[in-house]
Amino acid sequence: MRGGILLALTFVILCVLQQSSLHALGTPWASIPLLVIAGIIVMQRVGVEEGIAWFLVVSVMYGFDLYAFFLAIVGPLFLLRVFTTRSVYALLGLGVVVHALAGTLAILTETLLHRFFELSFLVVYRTGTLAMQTLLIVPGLFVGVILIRFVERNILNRVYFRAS
Amino acid sequence: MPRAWYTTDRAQSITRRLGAFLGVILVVWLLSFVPFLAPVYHGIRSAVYAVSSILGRATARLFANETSLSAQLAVCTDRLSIETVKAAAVDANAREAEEWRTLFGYIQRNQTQGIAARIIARSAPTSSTVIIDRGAADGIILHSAIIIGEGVLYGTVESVTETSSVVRLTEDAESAIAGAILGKRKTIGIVKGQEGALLSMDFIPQETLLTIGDVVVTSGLDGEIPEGLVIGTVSEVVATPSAPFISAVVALVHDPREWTSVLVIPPVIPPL
Repeated sequence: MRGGILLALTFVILCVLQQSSLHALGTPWASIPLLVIAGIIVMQRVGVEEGIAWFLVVSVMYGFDLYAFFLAIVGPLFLLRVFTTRSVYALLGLGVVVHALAGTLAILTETLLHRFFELSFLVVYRTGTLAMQTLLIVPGLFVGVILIRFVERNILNRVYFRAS
Repeated sequence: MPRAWYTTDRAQSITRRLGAFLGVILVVWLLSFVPFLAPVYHGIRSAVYAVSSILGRATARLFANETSLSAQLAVCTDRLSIETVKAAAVDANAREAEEWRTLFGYIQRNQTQGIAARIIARSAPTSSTVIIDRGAADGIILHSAIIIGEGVLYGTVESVTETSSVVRLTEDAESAIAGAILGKRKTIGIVKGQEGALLSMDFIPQETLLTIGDVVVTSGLDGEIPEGLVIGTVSEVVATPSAPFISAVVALVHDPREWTSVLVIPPVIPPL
């Protein structure tokens, strides 16, 4: 339960950073998908269920965003079937593949929805940022793993687990 | 007998963790709607944004030197802004000079006296009045005619203060000017403002032959506005067989919003 609360607080802090901080930093920092990077790390290191919940909340928060929704679907598939180890390389592979696949699926779905149901999406914007984000996600995940290891060793192991 | 999956320790642990995760997010989200907490949220986001902006500018300066494309673009954008402002000023000056040239042309042709003024404020579209930068101290008196271009009536002075005057435009609904139609014979009528940019000329004798495009000018019969100033052109004739008079719809020959320089012509017969 404490893990869930800690995860939720992390989510809230990252939301604030994503919406306020990264946007103010300008290009290319504004394109860093902070919540997605964190979600992939959560999925691999904390639990598949938490990862799915993370992406579903992101999807709802951004107005039922299809990209985050597809991340919640393809993320567990690749984590449980392909990138099954907990190494950094598996995490990087998982992040790149899942991000590219979910982004492509979202673009295709939005295009089809626009074609047949005349629903409007920012498809052009997403197509432009997908390649940039695929490049940014690798260093993002790498830094994220270093940070999470630091937090696990120096903060959680000393404070959280000792307290529980 | 095997246990159901949802009764296992793992399932209950997952349920607790996910419940706590979603519950905390839901609580934070609901708290953002509490009115007295809104400033706290706003303050946190503003502070984070401010710090990030400073960091962003610092990193941009660190990575961008004078020869980089972004630096060149910034310089070009600044220059473009400056040149746009200059071009706008030159354009405004040229337009004003053209206005003054036509006004002085009118003065020279008619050998008349006038006071040059500039429009400094415009009213809401419904009342059709403007304020000029000349007042009683400059010799402006009530009911003076306001002229633009080469003798086009713009309006009349409605009220005067020491340093400024309010001008009622000809298209104002309360404006009434003695007018004449220059056709085969001179026709006398009252030109009144209407809702919108059109005027109406009423009380024209029934036997008058009017054609579309006839020029409407001031008649000078009211003793305040000089004769022969252009008001507009006839765009429609409204005739009722049983009525003793006909009326005409008059279209303005100018757009009152485009002018900034005017000439004030004192009344022919000064008010007592």
